[in-house]
Amino acid sequence: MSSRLAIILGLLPAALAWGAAADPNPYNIDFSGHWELDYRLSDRANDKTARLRDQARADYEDALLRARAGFRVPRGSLANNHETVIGLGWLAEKITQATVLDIQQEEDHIVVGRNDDFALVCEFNAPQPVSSPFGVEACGWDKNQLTFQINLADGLRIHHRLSLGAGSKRLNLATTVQVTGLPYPITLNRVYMPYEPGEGLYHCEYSLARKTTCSLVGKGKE
Amino acid sequence: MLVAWALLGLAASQATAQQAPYLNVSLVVFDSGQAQGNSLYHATARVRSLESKYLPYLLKRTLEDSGHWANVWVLPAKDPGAEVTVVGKVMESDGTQLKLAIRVQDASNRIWLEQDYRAKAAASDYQAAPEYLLDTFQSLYDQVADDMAEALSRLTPTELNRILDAAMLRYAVALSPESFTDYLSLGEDGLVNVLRLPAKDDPIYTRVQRLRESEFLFADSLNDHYESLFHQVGETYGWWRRYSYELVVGNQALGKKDQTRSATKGTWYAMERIYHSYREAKMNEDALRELTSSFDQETKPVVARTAGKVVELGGTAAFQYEEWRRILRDIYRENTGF
Repeated sequence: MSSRLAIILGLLPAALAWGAAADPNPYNIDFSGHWELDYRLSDRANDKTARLRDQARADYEDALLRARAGFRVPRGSLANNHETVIGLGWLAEKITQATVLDIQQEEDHIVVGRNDDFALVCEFNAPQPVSSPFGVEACGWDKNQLTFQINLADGLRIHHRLSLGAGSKRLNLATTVQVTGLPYPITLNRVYMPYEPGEGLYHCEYSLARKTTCSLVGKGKE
Repeated sequence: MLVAWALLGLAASQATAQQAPYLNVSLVVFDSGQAQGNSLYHATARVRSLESKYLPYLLKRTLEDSGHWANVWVLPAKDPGAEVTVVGKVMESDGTQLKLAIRVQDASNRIWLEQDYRAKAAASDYQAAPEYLLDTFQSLYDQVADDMAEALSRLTPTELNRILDAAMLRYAVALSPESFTDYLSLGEDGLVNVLRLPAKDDPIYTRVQRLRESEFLFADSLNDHYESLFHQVGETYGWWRRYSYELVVGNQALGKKDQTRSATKGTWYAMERIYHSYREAKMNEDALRELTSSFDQETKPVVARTAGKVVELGGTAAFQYEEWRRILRDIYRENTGF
């Protein structure tokens, strides 16, 4: 079985379980609006990565001791993973770098715009999952949460989960990054709070040719 | 002015059959397949939507540069009075190759060309930053233009004038079937034959010709939109092609060199590289989605004038075109009572 097919088959049950086509957004959740990062409530990537690294190191040392003592140890537990865990943590931090979300939600789709990053787009009634040259993606509602599952080559899997706090005062974007063969998925919770966009000093836009460019606006226009 | 010349060409066709007139070419926006509907989720659908307007415009530029034609227009729908109609379908387009199915026929239904055209890109085509004014697959459009020119060269001046007459009469029939159907016949071979021509001073036919001239002007306005699309998204589309090329070729190379790949497989370096490519492609999708959405939704209103009336048309290019046709039919009925 090709790796692509394996990825698709692995993702299908989740996509079917969402039942997006049957009952999109059953809880009428609306993420629309402008959100900025609440640093106080958000995970710190360094702290989480350090904890996972310590756990990986401890597991490795424990497995080594057990093996030396003649006990059978689970396959793969003798791998020294803590450096890879650091790399995974660094990647997770990069994936969750957005400090501002601009979310546009309609009855049939949502576009979660993220500054300096690509938008997470989901069409609630579209067939799932969707394959591309990069891998397989699926999205949809899981009760009152919106999830995006992205399975890329070499077993790299990214799972975004959006949920609203009480009174819609906070939005949590929980991102889990994991890779096949590494038993240490890392999850970073990035919590956002609403804000009203005003006439900022800068207007930034992304284009393929120029990447992100910013220009002064506001007072100069008056 | 070319439009005026075209009408002079028509008049000339009735006066003498020996002059070789230039023909107008109507390029209908290409069929993009839309295998995935209008989904905004699928980048492919967005790109195909863009290509359906962008690629005909490239062919229009090539045909204009060839110097064999009067006017060349891209139109959102088939023109019932087209002298030469080009319809196309995007069969394949991924940056590594472009394959178009092209069909060219004239107003008498004679098919000039019906074939697939394919061009392949080389790595050297993407070494520098994309330059949209020099399209990667220009050789394909050149080939279509050459084939059309060759087909044109096989026609005698009399045949060309017949095409002009058939086109104007087909346009007249579309406006007023009851007045003009008898001038044309459809043969068993599917070809349209001009049975006779209206008198040169026929007032109804003269009105039809005036309306046709208005339509030429409207087509010019519509083509301003396609030109602005070309300049607006050309660079971005060039980048999309480049990323797509790198992706397709890169995947092929990875498939062949799996042994080498396994050396880095599973390392965080490999993961970072995989995610970086994915992220770049997704940001590319975002840019294309925004650009094509804005073109679809915010086509500028066209102010058009005809028969002493000034009308402003909004909405998409396709909607404007349809609306303009309706207005012309109304004007015709008001003036003629038909």
